[in-house]
Amino acid sequence: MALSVSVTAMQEKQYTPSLLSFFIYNPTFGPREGEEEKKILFYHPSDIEKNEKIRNVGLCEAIVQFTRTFCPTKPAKSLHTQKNRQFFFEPEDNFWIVMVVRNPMIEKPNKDGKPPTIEYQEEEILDTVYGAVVRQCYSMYKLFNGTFGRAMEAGGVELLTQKLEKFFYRYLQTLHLQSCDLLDVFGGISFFPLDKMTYLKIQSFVNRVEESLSLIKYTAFLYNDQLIWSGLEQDDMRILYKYLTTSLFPRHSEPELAGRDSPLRPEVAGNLLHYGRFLTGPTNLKDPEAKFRFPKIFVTAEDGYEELHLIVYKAMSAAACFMISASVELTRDFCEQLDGLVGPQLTLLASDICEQFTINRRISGPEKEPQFKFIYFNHMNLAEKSTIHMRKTASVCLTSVHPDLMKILGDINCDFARVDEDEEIIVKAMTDYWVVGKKSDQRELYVILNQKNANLIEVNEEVKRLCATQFNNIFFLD
Amino acid sequence: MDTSRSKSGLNSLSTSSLEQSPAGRRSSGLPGTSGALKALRSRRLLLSVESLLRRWNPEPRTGARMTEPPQQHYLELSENPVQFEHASSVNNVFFDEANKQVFAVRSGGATGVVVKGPDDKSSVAFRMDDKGEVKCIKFSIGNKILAVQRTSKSVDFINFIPDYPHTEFSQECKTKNANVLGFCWTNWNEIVFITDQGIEFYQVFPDKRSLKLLKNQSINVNWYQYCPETAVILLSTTVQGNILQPFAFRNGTMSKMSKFEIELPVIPKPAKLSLSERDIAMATIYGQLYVMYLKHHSRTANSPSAEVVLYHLPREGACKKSHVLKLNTTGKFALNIVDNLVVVHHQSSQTSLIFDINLKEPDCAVNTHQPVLPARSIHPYRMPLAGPAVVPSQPPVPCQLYSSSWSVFQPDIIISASEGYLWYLQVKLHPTVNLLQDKGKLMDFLLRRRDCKMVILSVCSQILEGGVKGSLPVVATVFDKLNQVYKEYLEAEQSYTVAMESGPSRGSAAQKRPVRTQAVIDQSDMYTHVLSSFTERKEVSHKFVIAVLMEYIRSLNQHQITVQHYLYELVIKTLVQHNLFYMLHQFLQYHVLSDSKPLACLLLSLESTYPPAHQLSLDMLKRLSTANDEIVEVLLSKQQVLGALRFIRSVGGHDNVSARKFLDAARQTGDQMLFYTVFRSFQQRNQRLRGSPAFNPGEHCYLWYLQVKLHPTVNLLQDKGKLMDFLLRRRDCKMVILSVCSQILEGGVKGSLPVVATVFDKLNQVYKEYLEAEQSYTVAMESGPSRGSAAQKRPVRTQAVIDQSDMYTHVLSSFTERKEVSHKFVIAVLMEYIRSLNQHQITVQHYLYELVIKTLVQHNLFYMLHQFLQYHVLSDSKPLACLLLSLESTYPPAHQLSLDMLKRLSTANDEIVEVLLSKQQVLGALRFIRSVGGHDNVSARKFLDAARQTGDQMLFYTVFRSFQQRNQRLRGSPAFNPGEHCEEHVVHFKQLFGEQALMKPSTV
Repeated sequence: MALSVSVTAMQEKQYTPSLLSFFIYNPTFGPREGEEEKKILFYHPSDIEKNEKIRNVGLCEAIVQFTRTFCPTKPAKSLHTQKNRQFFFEPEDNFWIVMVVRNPMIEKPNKDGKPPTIEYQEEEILDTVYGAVVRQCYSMYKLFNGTFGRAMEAGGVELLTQKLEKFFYRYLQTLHLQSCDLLDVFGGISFFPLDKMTYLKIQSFVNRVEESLSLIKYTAFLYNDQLIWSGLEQDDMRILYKYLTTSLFPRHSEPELAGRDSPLRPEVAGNLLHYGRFLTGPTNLKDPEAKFRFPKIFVTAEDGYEELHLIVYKAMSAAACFMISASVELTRDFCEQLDGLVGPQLTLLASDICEQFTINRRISGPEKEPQFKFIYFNHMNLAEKSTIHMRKTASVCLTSVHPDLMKILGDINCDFARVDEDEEIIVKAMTDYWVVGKKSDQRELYVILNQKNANLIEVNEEVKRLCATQFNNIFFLD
Repeated sequence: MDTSRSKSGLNSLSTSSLEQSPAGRRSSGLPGTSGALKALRSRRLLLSVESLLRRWNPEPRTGARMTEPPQQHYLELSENPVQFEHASSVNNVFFDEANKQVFAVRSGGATGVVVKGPDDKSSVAFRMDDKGEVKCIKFSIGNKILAVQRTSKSVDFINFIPDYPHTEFSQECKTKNANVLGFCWTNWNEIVFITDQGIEFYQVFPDKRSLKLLKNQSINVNWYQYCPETAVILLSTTVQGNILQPFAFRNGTMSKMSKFEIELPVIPKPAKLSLSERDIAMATIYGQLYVMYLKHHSRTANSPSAEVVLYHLPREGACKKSHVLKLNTTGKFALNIVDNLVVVHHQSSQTSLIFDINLKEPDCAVNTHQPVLPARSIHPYRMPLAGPAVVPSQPPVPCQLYSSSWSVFQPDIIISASEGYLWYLQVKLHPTVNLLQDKGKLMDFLLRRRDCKMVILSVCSQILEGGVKGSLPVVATVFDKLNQVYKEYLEAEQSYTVAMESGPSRGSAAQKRPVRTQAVIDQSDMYTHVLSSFTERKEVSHKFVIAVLMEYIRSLNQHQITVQHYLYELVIKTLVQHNLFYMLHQFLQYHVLSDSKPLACLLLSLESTYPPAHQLSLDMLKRLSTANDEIVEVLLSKQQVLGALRFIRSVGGHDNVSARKFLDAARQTGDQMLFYTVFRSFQQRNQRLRGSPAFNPGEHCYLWYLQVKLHPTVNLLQDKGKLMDFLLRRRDCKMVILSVCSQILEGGVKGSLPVVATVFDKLNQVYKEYLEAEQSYTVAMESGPSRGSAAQKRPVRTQAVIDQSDMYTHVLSSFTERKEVSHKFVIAVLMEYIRSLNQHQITVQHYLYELVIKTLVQHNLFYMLHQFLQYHVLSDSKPLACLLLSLESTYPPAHQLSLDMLKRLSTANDEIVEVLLSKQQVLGALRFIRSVGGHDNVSARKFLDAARQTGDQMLFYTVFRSFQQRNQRLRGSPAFNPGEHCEEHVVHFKQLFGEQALMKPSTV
């Protein structure tokens, strides 16, 4: 939990929001006095003294209970204090997840050697953003472990605490609260733009693989970390996509970028040259010691949940995820068969896509690349597009705009969420930027314009122009 | 050799019939033999590998061949052969390849010449003088002139043109000491003599009974061949005979084509004639002329088996060796061309092979071909009854196939002179389907055949429905091959259309409309015969179905063929059926399903099951850019009036749009400010366009205009009763009154119920007065127009008459749907309206009751409903009773209420019986129908059906007996009438209780 600190002129130190604590409890596990500790299923940081843990959990419990009296169906979701903010989330009956975030603050040095004054900026963080982060934590846990209830059924509290410990210990380290923003609220999926013919080729590929390897139940296809095809339902794909793009792919691409373990040595698999390799499971099929174990994931099925092996196979920039029922034991034979079948085809497909993509780019012309900074999201298919965010890596998510502007975007989003109708909001920020938010049906668009002397009408015209160039093939009211 | 070709039919009697003698000219070729063996001799007979004298082995057919499954035979003889009198000592038979005519010449023509052609028109019979043995006999094209060769020096001619002299005339060959080998007609009046020293080209003048030499050419000729389709004569020259010189004839001209050499397997020393006429054949394959050479295996060369070498003979340019067909065996062979396939008959194995020279063989060297299919015999053939002497009951005799008496002619003719048959050889495509395992190759093969369409479609179905694992790549290959042909046709068609449009005279005027062969399988064929039935098969997984459909769409796209809408519909239907909406979404996102209005509409219709379809549909309409009206409609239907207005402005359609549509929609929202905004917007538009804010009469906006004008009065007069009195007397008041009603109801002001009641009463008073006037008018009319006051006029319906339908449509239906109004108030208002109607003795319409019930049910106020019904507040009617019945599952007492109501209606006895029977209350139903005296006319079957369904045997017995008693009473017999369809139940009764339990007909 590295604190990121920036030092401005005046020798002021600025601290970004950071995770203070994260805990999960169930009040029904220790209802009597003296047994309060039993309620706690997971607590981070773990080195906190037991009584303080109990105190903190008790406080949360009390707040939720108290607010319930005002609105039984919607108890408190967050608690704002000067120094920090707490988020409450009840994903399953009586199970509560609480995240405590320290507010961003500025430390101003005092003369005369007095201790520096600390100024908390309690209004700088948004409930929607961090509320979404907590929900995401749970979804991610559920993707790999199933529900809390499932662990309880399988092995009681003991198993559940084990699982929570194992999962969240690592997962919390990958949370980067300082770079959470509007995109976390959306939890969208970025789609790869592609022409119809190439898309149909991918379809054909997926169908053929599923046909010849009938064990495969679902397939997802990604290129350049962007989704092209998902056989999974939307909600499952959303979280799997999050995992793939923020965890699995960066983990594998960073060594590549660093030049270590370059995948660009063609594996001589059998007699076929291809660039295919497993991102999950065995790193080297030839290794006689190789283990054929794949991560398991849980997705919604008609009757509750189903458990699946997740095989992620990548050739150049194209990645295919194959999901196979967990009840099947995966063997070396199967993996070799898959490698032999998918490797060459996927390699070919990847270069096809790359070629098509460059052609399309050339046609559309680089000069048409927008100077606009915008975020687009469609609730219907979860499609998101952002020209504000740089490429996401495992460690950090870079944005090209000031956090203040990002906060304005978040605020507009909150306003949109409040009403059902189409709206448009134009804001002039302190820093000469104009921020425009538009909502049409289920779509939201946020644009940041840097035109110092522009007036409202000009800004409006500019946004219209953007819609005409970027979104001319969708129905977007303006 | 030379001697053997001097054969006239009778001369050849001495030679053995089994020789494959080159005796017959193709024109003259089939002299009968005298002996018991009547072989037809034609040089084209069977191309023998072995010595001339070697006989065909008349091996009996083996049993094994007979047991072969019949569908394995892919070649067959035509069903309706040409029959002629078989060759005998007195009957010589000749075949003319040009006209496909068989000549049966009896006694040199003295006792008759019978000519049989492929159709009746070309069949002739005539007599001619016997002037010696006939060597060769042929009609010119169109049966105009008959040419007969009787000596080796001259040819005789007989006119067959009416009104021309019929006496024979003769022509000797010009070259001295030359022997005429034969002749060929190249036109109706042009003939070529082929002599051993050259060729002579004549024009015949039938009127003058003379010939004129057009051209001649000296060249040593061993033998010749003629291809009638292309009018090309091929001459064998030089000592070895392997230098071939073709000549082409057209419209009185003769052109020498480039000569070429056939590579002999062995060069004989000393040189002697080594290339036999029997080893050469000419035919057109895929529109090109080929010379086929049967190259026998030689013991010295290391080619172990025979092969057929094809030389391509272009109209211009040099002839070159183009294809080699590997026969993989030795022996005697004969060649046919059927449907552009080279068929090679092998006598000793009694099988045939087929080759397709356009089929690429990946594993062979270029232009070397292996047989397409394994060798199979021709389909067994039974001779139909022939001749009047045959007893009709005699079964057809099996015909010996590959008989040594067979002669084979190009392209597809097989003649058995000894039996008097001429067949056409045919290819059956269905058996090939199972013989060729490689489906891609099979498609290549089938696509080049003539009658291939249904076979191809059935192969497609077979591949899909077999559902064999790993069949998807095969499916893809097959689709690609089909669409390649389809695409080529479409392109040809398009370029033809373009050429036509740019003017028929310009450019190449010769451009012909492309012919659509059977191989063009378009989307509609595919849809009708393959895909639609395939997608409905339950045993195929939907995954596979979708994969196949996507594969087809991919293939179409790959060939740049526009995909038809019904294919998309099929995809969507399949996806929707399996709830694969997300998949559908993804397809649409990538425009795999191309945009179209019908598709957008289809999507709209899916909105209720899959909400995102709405957005997808709008996007699609937007992209179409011609669907702005549709977008406006969609938005208005969603009450997004401002959105619609902004959209239509943004696309510049504001000036032409129907203002009324927008105003209607704005009013329905009930939002007054919105209505005002929209109205003003259109007024401004009017101002801009026409200089006045007024609407044109054609826009039908007067009412809205009026409403806006009257609006102040509405708000100025607080006493709504007084306001109504005022409005009811105004001319264009209807919409204003209705809007006032809406306003009162939706304002939801406390204590407004009395106001509502007053308003309703005032409205219904006017309504009532109108109804009464109307009724008295009707009565007056019915009692006779002349009687009484003839001046009675039909009452005028003023706008002040607000009937129930107006009220329902404009006020009540939208009012009951407003969520913010308490249901208590809604019901109170509805009851108030019903009360008011009743008070004015107006019959309440059913839809009002329905509205009440709907509202009550929505709020689970069943008890309230119960009470209303108890007091008949909701009047009885059949529809209402049905509505109640449908509520039974949520509110069981509704059943009782419904039955009560039906009972009260007294005209609904049938319905009551149905309800009771559906509840298996059979006895109850029986008792009821008896009680109302309907027992005698009721359908016994219905009751018995129901009784049987209960599974209660005693019940069935009781019901059955009851009806038997009824029958006894009505008709004096317990039996059922046939019209009652109760036979089944009588049988069932007997099974259960025995025969004796049946009531016996009493004689009383």
